[in-house]
Amino acid sequence: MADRPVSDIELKAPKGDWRDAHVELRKGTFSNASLPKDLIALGLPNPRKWQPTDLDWQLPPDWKGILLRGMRERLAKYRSFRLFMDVCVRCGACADKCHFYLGSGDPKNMPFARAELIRSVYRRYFTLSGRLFRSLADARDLTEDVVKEWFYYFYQCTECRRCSVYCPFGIDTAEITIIVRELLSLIGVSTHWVTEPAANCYRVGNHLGIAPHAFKDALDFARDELRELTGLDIEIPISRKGAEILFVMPSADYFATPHYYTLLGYMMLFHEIGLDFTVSAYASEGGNFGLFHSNDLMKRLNAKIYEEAKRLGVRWILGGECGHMWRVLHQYMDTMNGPADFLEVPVSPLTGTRFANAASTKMVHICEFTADLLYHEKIKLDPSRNDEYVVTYHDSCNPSRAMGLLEEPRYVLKRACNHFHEMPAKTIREYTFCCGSGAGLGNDENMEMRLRGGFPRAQAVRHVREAHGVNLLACICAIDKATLPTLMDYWVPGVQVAGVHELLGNALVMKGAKERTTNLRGEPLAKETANA
Amino acid sequence: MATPATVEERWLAAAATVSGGLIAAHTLTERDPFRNPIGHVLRRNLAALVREFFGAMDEAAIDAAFGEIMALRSIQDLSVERAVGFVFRLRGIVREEAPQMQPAEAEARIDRLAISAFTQYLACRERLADLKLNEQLRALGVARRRTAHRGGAPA
Repeated sequence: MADRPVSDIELKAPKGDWRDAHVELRKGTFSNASLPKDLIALGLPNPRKWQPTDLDWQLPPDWKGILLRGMRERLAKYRSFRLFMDVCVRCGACADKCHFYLGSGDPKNMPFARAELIRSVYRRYFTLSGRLFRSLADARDLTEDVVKEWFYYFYQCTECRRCSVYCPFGIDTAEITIIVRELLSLIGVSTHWVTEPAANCYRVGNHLGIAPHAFKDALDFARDELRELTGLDIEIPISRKGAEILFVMPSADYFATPHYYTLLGYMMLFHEIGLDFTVSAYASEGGNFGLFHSNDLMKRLNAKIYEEAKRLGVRWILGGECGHMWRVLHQYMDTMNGPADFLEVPVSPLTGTRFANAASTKMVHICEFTADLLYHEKIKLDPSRNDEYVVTYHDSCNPSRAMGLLEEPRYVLKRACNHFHEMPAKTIREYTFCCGSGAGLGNDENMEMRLRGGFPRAQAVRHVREAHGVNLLACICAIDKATLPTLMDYWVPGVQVAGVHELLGNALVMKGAKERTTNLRGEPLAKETANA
Repeated sequence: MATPATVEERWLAAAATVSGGLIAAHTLTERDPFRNPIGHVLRRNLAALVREFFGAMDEAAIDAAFGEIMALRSIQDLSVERAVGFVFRLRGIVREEAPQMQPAEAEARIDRLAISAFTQYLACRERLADLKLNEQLRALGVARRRTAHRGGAPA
């Protein structure tokens, strides 16, 4: 069949039964299992040493009962889950919208097909037709192979929600993924890349497990570098009681590159406008890997930000360039730990703008805050300092689709840079393609799967690189900044990755600062290079 | 008389076998590059290879085309044999579609294509190791920068 011309090929469904649950776990396509120490730290069940390639996953004796009871409880608790189990008509509108399907060609990565992996079990045990007619009703028994299949495919979904944009019923496949991962965690099936950061966060306040003294050391170093760059002493207050604003950022901002340059940009901005703020050594993480594990863990990790805001006595919270932090904040925080009545509705001290959209969570995105400053001409920029960059913007999934933050980052970028080009319309804004590494998939053992998932995004970047010479991909998510450089190096070499506030920091004209000759990375500015 | 377009179509059908032997109909039929990136990359680069096969056999052009195809196939669920083996499917296609071509000449050209395909496949696999290392280095970027700044080893 394969040697006939494309036009002659009969487009039949592939041979085999989709209900066959067997999966082949190839190296490079799955994440390692959680370690017992982290499950113990988080009080999670069935801690043991195991790996997905083991024949015996050492599930608890009553694993099937645990899963079915867990499903029953969640069907009763979450109306959305029951609806999403019942209302899908398998129309296929979502089929070619998932980046993992587009990058792998694996039919079980079509979002409706992935969801069928649990719907089939739902039908078997929770519907009359499934109980009576079994396979005739597309129902499947819950077996160990099904558990392994769930693990394989629901840890390929990055919970990016692109498919939900196209679903005529509004089914949010990410919610299904969250529930399946939560069910799997009940029998001790989860991944190291999710539970270790969560345990670290629980223990010391951030995913990377950075202790308070190391946190301070990192920020002191940033202060030193900023002094060399600008000639100004830019203080970064830590856990200062009575500050007006608590600033929360992802921990990668003070530990990894290129995130760190974004941190420098934030601090230059805050100094320039004289913001009364503090960071916290306890709420030293904006990210929330609990979202990638279970609702309960998400709630526990989210709570610390608000506890710290209360302890420090701030008025409101400003959040940095982070992706899923904003999904947790925007969609879940209010019902999990809110409302944050002890805080005030955020008002910009510079412009007087009242952020009514954050009236309940009391937390404002840094891009909203900065765009407002620019709109009111409270800061001055010299975009020529970014002239070595031809920039495009990757809408990070969570800020764009979960909170509708589409214009503000562009507003900042277009004022901080002279050369900006958009990727094709169906690959940006609410239609944005995921980086392929979110939701706890961004580890190196899963590299091949990540490169498949990121392939559609990379193709869109490649398009603007070829059309406009784009050499920099801007974004506002810590996971993007960690994983997009890898994606670019593989698929589109020559494209760097940066945060929006790194570019803002490059362009920011600061009162009393010495003349800038390098960008925040220490590289000569384009005009310096031209002069040389 | 064969046209490169016929050869290209048949070769594409052979190459579109992905994900455990399933033919993704989507890969073959959808022309939007952003709704079908795999099909787009395959189609674009196989066309370039067929042009070279019937033309000058420019080494750089062949390597560039296989570089893109193998970047895809080296990370799919394909064994090495299947990732690269589709090149040899060209033998049968050319025999049927271009009988005027001398068999020895066709064989020699296919061998040269196959060597390029293997070379590019290996290069992609080696790049995966570099990607992992560089990602780890970036994860420690601030510590490395600080060490260099304070007189330690260069970052």
